[in-house]
Amino acid sequence: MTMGQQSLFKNQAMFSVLHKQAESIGEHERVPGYSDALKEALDRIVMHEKANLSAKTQIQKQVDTAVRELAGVLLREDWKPSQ
Amino acid sequence: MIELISAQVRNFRQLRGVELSFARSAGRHLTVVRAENGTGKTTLMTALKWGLFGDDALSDARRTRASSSRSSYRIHPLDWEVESDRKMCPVMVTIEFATIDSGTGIENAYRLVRSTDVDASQKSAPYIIYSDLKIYAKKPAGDAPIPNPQAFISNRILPTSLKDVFFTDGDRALAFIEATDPSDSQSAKRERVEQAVRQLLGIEILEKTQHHLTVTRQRAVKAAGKDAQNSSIKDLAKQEEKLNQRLRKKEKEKEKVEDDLKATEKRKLEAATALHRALKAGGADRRKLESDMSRQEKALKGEGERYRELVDLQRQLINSSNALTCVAANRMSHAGKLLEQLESDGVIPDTLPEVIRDRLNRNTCVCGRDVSKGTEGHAKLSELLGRVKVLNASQGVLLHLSSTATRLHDRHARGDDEPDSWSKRAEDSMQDIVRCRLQEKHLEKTVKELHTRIRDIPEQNIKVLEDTLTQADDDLKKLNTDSGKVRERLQATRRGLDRIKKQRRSAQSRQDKHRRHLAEETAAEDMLNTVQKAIRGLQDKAVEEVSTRMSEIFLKMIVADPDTAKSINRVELTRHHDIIVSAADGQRLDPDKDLSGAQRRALTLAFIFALAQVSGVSAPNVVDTPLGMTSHLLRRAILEYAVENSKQLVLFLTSSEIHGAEDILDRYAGCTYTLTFSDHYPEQLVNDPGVGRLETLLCECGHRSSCRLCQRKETG
Repeated sequence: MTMGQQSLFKNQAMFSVLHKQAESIGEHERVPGYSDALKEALDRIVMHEKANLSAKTQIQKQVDTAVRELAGVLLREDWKPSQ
Repeated sequence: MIELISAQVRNFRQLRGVELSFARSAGRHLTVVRAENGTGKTTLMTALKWGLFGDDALSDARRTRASSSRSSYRIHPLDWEVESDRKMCPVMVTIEFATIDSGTGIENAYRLVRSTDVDASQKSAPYIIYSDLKIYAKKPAGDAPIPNPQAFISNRILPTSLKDVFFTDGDRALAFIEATDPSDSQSAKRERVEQAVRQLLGIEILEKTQHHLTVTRQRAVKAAGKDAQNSSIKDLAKQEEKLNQRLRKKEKEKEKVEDDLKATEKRKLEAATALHRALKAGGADRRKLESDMSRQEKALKGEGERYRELVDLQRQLINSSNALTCVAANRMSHAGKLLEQLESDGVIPDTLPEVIRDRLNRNTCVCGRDVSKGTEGHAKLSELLGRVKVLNASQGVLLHLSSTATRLHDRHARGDDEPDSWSKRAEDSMQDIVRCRLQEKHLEKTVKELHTRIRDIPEQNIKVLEDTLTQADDDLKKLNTDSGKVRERLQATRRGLDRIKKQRRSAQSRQDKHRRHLAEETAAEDMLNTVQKAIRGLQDKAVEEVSTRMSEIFLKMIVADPDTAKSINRVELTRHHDIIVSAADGQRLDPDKDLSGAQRRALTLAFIFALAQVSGVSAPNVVDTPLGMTSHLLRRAILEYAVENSKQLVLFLTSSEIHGAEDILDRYAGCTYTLTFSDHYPEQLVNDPGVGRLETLLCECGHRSSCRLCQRKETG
């Protein structure tokens, strides 16, 4: 499911809480634009999870990909891993 | 949000052919389906649920555990006759619905068709049902099929798990609040509430997400740990820098050697060119002349030496005894004779000196005179001895000559000498000397001429040029050797550098990989933390919100009932998903025992509406028998509240539920229908529907009207 085919059945409360928590991860700890990327990645995973409920998909791979893409946001910027 | 547009039901139990539209207008979004008990309200709602959610919607409680395709629910008409009808009964539900994007307001319409052919020869449960679902997007150009339609419903329209929340069977919905059968425990109710809360708030989805993120994070942690044992890139970078410096040094050395080589080659070329020019400009003649002169000088020197040898030879020839014999043979013969005469005369040899020395030794003269030292006689005799000595030398010569003359004479007399041989030799010697001398003169002249010629040729420093050329050659050899060594060292350094670069690249790659894994670990951790916090937030805050909202709704509903309002203070949904009701005196009430049926129904609806509101899920509410067993005031309050808080509401109501709330229905109902079951004739129906079978029929009569079909007999 692409982002253009978002569910009309929207768990607004869930996304609202999820986004609020994502925003609480301060960008000063990571890189600029990270919070938005985190929200998008989580939205994407939740969509995949929903799709996986009705028809088995390669959900673990999809989650791995979403994590890799979010990691890519860190790697694109001058991100320093905490020791 | 989604909205129902219309539905058609064929052969779904007694619904042989029912078609209805749903109210969608703003403010008149209520659809009322009036039907008495046993007419087919629940069947119609089950048909809608089956259409949307499939075979799972045929009530879990009624499904067998053996297989999901087996159901205790008979889907086909009860009076379907295999003989007169068909063995296979076609069952079909068609639902048209619309999706409306809340942001843009864009509406898309779809047609859903779920169908199955049931083997009607099955007389008893379990019934095997395999339904087929098709969904078409309604487009101006024609309907377009939607791939994977069940996933489309679950993911984009409404998850199956929420079917009981939005399609609420008034009686079954009470299961949230009350035990539906004696075996139902508190934990079972809690589980149902929890399930509804988790589904609607998305906690279940987030927990699945949490699980998958945990797996991803663990993998990233493991991968990052594996990469951590990297050799230091700093060390390798230092080594690389050192090798780079060494390489630069070697390259400079190489450049220097190559420059030297070029310079030397140039020098050699210049020397060779200069030499070539010099040779071309006469240098070659001069060298030849010098070579000739050197040869002539050597010959001249040889001639000089030969001349001296010839002179010596001639001298020896002249000094030889033969010369005298040959030159003065007669004179020699005469002298020999004279000497013979002298000997014979005793002149020679002279014995006086011996006598004098004897007398002197004896110190007495032959005359007896004393001749000892110091005496006059001694002096006279010594003087005489001196004179005799001189004479004696002459005598010796004479004796020698005499002897020689005698010998030569004898030999000559014998004819041993050959005077011609000596003469010949003397003549040859002279001629040799003369020739030698002439040759010498010739050579001297030649040398002089050559010298003159050489002097006339301009002087070129051929030797220097040759030396320069030789030196340049030597230098080139050395430089080539040096260059080879330098190149070899340069190559070795380059190889070393390449090796280190490769190692560094490899280490860099490992470090990049490590960094990537750390980034993935961080990303997974952030996502995991976010999800975990969201779950906690939903469990705490959202549940608290649902609890508050439910209490508000419930209290609003029951406020109309003074008795209930007085007795109940608040309701609460705990974090552990228990629904608690508190009395006005603070006492905790057991909903199962302490609440009336109407209160339990109101509480159930309050819970469902609160959950839907807090979750933000926007879908039609289809409620079967929501107002049963409620008092007049409570019924009105529930109805008003439900209508005001729904986007689209479909209510299946009995006449008794409608009673006293007609004005509310007048206000909000956009569509009204009445269901009539043929089997109710003649007991309840005035007229025979005339279908001759068990069938629920639909008419468009509202809550204030009736037709021939739906006209019912007055009850006591």
